[in-house]
Order: sequence, then structure tokens, then C-alpha cells
Amino acid sequence: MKRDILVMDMTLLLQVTLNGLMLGMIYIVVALGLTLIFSIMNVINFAHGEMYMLGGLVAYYFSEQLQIPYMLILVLAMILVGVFGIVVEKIFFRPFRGELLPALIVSLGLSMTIQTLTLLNFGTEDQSVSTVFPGMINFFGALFSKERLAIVITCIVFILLLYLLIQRSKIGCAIRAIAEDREAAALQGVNIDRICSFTFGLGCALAAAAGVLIAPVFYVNPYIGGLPLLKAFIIIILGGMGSLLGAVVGGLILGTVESFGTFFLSVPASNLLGFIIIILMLLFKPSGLFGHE
Amino acid sequence: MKKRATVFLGFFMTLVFALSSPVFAEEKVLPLGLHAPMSGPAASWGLNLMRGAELRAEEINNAGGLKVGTDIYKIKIIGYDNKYTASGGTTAANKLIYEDKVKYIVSIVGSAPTLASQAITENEKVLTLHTAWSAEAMGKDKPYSFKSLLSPVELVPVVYPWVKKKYPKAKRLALLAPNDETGKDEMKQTKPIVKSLGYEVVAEEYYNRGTTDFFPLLTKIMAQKPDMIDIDAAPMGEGALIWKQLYELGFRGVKLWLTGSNAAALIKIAGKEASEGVIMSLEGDCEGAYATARQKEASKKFREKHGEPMNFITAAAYDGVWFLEQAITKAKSIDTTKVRDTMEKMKFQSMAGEAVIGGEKTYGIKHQFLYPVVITVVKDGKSVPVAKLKPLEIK
Repeated sequence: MKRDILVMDMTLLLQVTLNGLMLGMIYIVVALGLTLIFSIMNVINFAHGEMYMLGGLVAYYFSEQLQIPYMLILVLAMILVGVFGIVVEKIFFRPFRGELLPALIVSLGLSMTIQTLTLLNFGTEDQSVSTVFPGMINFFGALFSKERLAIVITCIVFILLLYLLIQRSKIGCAIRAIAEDREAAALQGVNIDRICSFTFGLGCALAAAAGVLIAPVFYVNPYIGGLPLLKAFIIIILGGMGSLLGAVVGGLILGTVESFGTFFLSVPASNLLGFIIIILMLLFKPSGLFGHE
Repeated sequence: MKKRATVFLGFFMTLVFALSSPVFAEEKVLPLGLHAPMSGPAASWGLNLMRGAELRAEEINNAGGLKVGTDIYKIKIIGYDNKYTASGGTTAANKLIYEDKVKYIVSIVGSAPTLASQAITENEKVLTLHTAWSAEAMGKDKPYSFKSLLSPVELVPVVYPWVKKKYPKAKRLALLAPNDETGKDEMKQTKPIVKSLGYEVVAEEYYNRGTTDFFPLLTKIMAQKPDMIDIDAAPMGEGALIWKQLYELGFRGVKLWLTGSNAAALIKIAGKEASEGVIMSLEGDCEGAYATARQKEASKKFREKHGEPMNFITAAAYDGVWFLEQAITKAKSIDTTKVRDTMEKMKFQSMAGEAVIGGEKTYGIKHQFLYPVVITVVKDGKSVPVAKLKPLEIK
């Protein structure tokens, strides 16, 4: 009997841990783009949630209306939203680059504009995207869907690719140089405008990728960007503004805290825990876990 | 001379008759207000509410208008977005009453906006038909407020005995509700009733509106091994995700969505397997086997206009205008106090059939509209009406 209870407890523990991991991975992909944009442009982009939403919408239209294969949709959404991000950066953010407050207000206005335009064209109804990975996986008694596993794997691939891009490529070197010292980078011949446009587009493409990945798991409507954006902000404050490693670690911490907090306490209490961590972090280590002063 | 007098008299009589006939009666406009979320995740409620109210208003206007004594009133529906918030409700009520000069509000969605709105409507004697589930939205201290939609307190005593009879083995019940005024109030109303029916409430959980990943919360609920789960007031998208994720976590017990209202959307989001067996009591069923002739006729018109059938929310708004029309016609006045007094004593026709005013035992005032509900169950990816139940006060 005791053994049964122990097995049951271990299964639950595994289920709660896996829930946290999957939750964290979803948060991480959204946060990566946001922290990338902040690292080199000093822009807190409130419209980032809308890029996530646009990714979900692209997934809905291409999958349900045009029946395009899902992996192709992922690539197309990243290209479309990425190019849109580049245009947005040139028109709206370039004049305010490095100016925190004006850029923040521009991003708020942009967020509302995109949301309203989407609402007018898309309507308010929740739309679903057919899953491409149906079925469940039983992992030592803990259950999760194959589509969630696909998200976790894709997220890990994205994190690795982004790491390689930033650390091993020429353009990544330029991004790091701008993040360190923009003027010094410019003096070394780095084209600031081009790198900023590319990074903003890449950040938006990552948000769109998250939207595409998550669309079949949840649903799509013009308001889906709000909650992931809020979580992404918590993660990048926790991990350190502008730190990719911080975004990954922060996402995993938040996902785990929310999962265990909900299980042992309640949903409102677990949400509160996230904010308590942020307050403590801001009080004792304002730069975050991996951020620079 | 005699002939001329006869012609004159005939002309005079015709003129008098014509002027006293409805055609020459003074035509006025009676503005009817409503406020509901028209932006944000619950925007579809508000937009559907407008459509339902406008359909009945259009029917009245096409039939010549609302006759009150010698006056004919054309109905005009004025709607505002209350953003599902208290401040939104206050703003909407202020606009309706002080700018649009509305004396009647035919529908409000949301407990918080309703309670905020009542602070103004009761003072101004604006007769209000709302859909708020909060018990505080009705009472002797709110003599101008009526509720036109059935809430858990009316549904639970009717629906749960049916469920208990149908699924006698289900005893361990888990309740899940949104973490707000509506959800908390509804849980407070539901728990004593289900306990009196012999259910053991093994979990009572709240979630924040806008949540999409319910896995952590549902894992906690599943750990209590419930036989039956009621997600009660969950709105469409969130409710569909809850059933989808419960299915993924292996729940195969009785699925009750007391206020579930849109099986088509549920199946679309959650999928056929996860939706199988979900019991709903607010589906509306305006075109199904238990639908009345009125529901079928109105739903046909609605479908021609908007490409979809009427649901419980469009029907509630349609009924709101219709209830008011019946009361004003009987009271022969648009004075809100006279209409209210008439309303309290009369029987009504609703889309679902005969309706009565009740609720005195629950709210301390007879201001609750009561009408039959149709229970539907999702079977093989379709919503199947399985029973038509009458609230206890309908004899």
C-alpha cells in the first residue's frame, strides 16, 4: 500500500515537473526575441506579444484555409513576421533607438494598433489550428501530448540555433558588439542600422515561431499575445535584461514555480509567486541572474 | 344642401378615424440600452448580445413599432463596451442614461459591470434586465433590476438531479471556476446545492481568465480522483481548452459544463474525442429537436443575417427586448415604475416557451425570469439535445 502511494506521488511529481518544463519552454521562445531586441536596441517592445499573435494567425490561415504543411508554415510565418518586424523597426523604432521611454510609448501604440486592425479583420472568435502531432505519451505514468513534446524539442532547437548564431557567426559577433558598446562597434565598422533591423526582425520571427508552435495546443484570437508578453517580461527581469542564457534559465524557473505553486497552493498564489520573485530580484539583484550592470 | 352636408360629415368622419388610427399616431423613438464586453477575450458575448437585441427590435419596427396608448415607438438599440469591468460598466451606464436618455437597459453582461451600473440605474429608476450571476445584483434594495438569464443558482437544482439520475455512480465532484466575482459567487451558490444532492466536492479551484495552459491546475484536480468535473462558468475558449487538457491528462469521467453554450466551438477547439460526453445546459438549441417554433423562426432570420444560429446569449438579448415589449404593452405606459409593477405580476412568452417571474426565495425579490432549459450532450462530434427541463418555479 505504502509502495502504491509512493509510486503515485512520484508520478505526480514527474507530471508536475514536466508541466513546469513545458510551460517554461513556451515562455522561453517568446522571451528570447524580447530580450534580443532589448539587448541591442534598448527597446522594451510591448508589441512583441502581437508578433506572437500574428504568428498564430498565420498558422491559422495557412493551415486551415490553405492547407499548407505545418513545418513550411513555421518557416513562412517567421519570414513574414520577421520582414514585418524589419519594416516596423525602420519606420517606428529607428528614430527612438536607445531612448527608452519614447520607444516604449511607440511600442504600446503599435501593440494597440496591430491588435485593433487584427480584430477588425479577424473578428473576436477563438479559432483552432489542427494538430500535426496527435496522441499522448505516457512517461512513467506522467501524461503529456505529443504536440507539447514537439514544442519542447523545437524550442531546444531554436535555443541552440540562436546560440550558434550569436556566438559563432559574423552577424552574431556584430550583435554582441553592439550590445556591449554601440559606439565602439560603429567605430569598428559595424553597420548599426542593418544589424538593428536584422535583430529586430529576428526577435519578431522568434515570437512568430512561438505563436505558430503554440497555436495547435491552445487557440488563436487577437488577444492571445498579452499573457505570454507578461510572462516574457517576468522572465527577462529574472534572467537579466538582454541575456539569452538568462531568458532560458528564467523561463525554466518561472515554469517550474508556476507548476509547483499551482499544485501545492493555487493559481492566484502561483501567479503571486512569480511577482514576489521579481520584487526580490529587483531588490537584491536588479540586473537579474545573468544581466550586466 | 343635404347632400353637401352628408359629404362633409363623411369627410369629417374619415378624417377623425384616420387621425385616431395608428398610422397617424405620433411616432417616437424608444431607445433601449445595453452594455457588455465588446473588446477583449469576451468580445463575442457583447457583439452577439447586440445582434440578438437588434433582431427583436427589427421585428417590432417592421411590424409597425411598439404601440403604447396612442403613441407608436420605434425601437432603437444603443450598445456600449463595458470591457467586463466595473469602471466600464459605470461609463456605459453614464453614457446611456445621461447622453442617450435611455430609460430601459435590456441587457448587461458581467457581474462587476452590472453592480457598478446599478449604482446609477437604481437612483435614476432605469429599469434594467441584466444577466449577472452575482447574488448581489438582485434584491429588495435593487427594485429596478431584473435578471433575464438563468444562472447556476437556477440551473443547479434543475440540471444536477438530472445528471445524478443519468450518472448515478459519479459521486466525487470537482468544481472549477474563473477567479473573479462571477466565478466566486457561482461557486458559493453551487456548493451547498450539490452537497445537498449527495455529491462530495473533492476539489474547488479557481483560474485566472485568459489562462491557456491549465495543465498544472488540472494535474492538481486529477490528483483528487474526481468522477465528475463541472467547469461551470468558463467562457468558450477557456472551457474548450480545459476539456482538451483534461482529456490529455486522462480524465474520462462525467463532464459537466453547466453554463456551456457553444458545442460547435468546443468541438472545433478541443477536438471530437475531448469533447465527447460534455453536458451543457445553455447551448440554446434554437434549431434542434426541443426548439420552439419561435426559436426556429428567429434563428432562421438570425442565420440569414449573420450566417450562424442563435445561441443562449443572442436569445437572452432577444428575450430581454421581448420581455420589455410585453410588459410595456400590458402596462400601456413607458413609465419605468408602472412597467416594473406590471412585470412583477405577469407571465411572459420567451423564445424557449412560457416564462414566469420568480426568485423570491433566493434573492428576496421576484425579479428572476424563469423559462425551460434544454440539456445537450456532445456525441460523435455533434451536440445532441437530450432533455428539456423546467425551473422549479414553473408549474
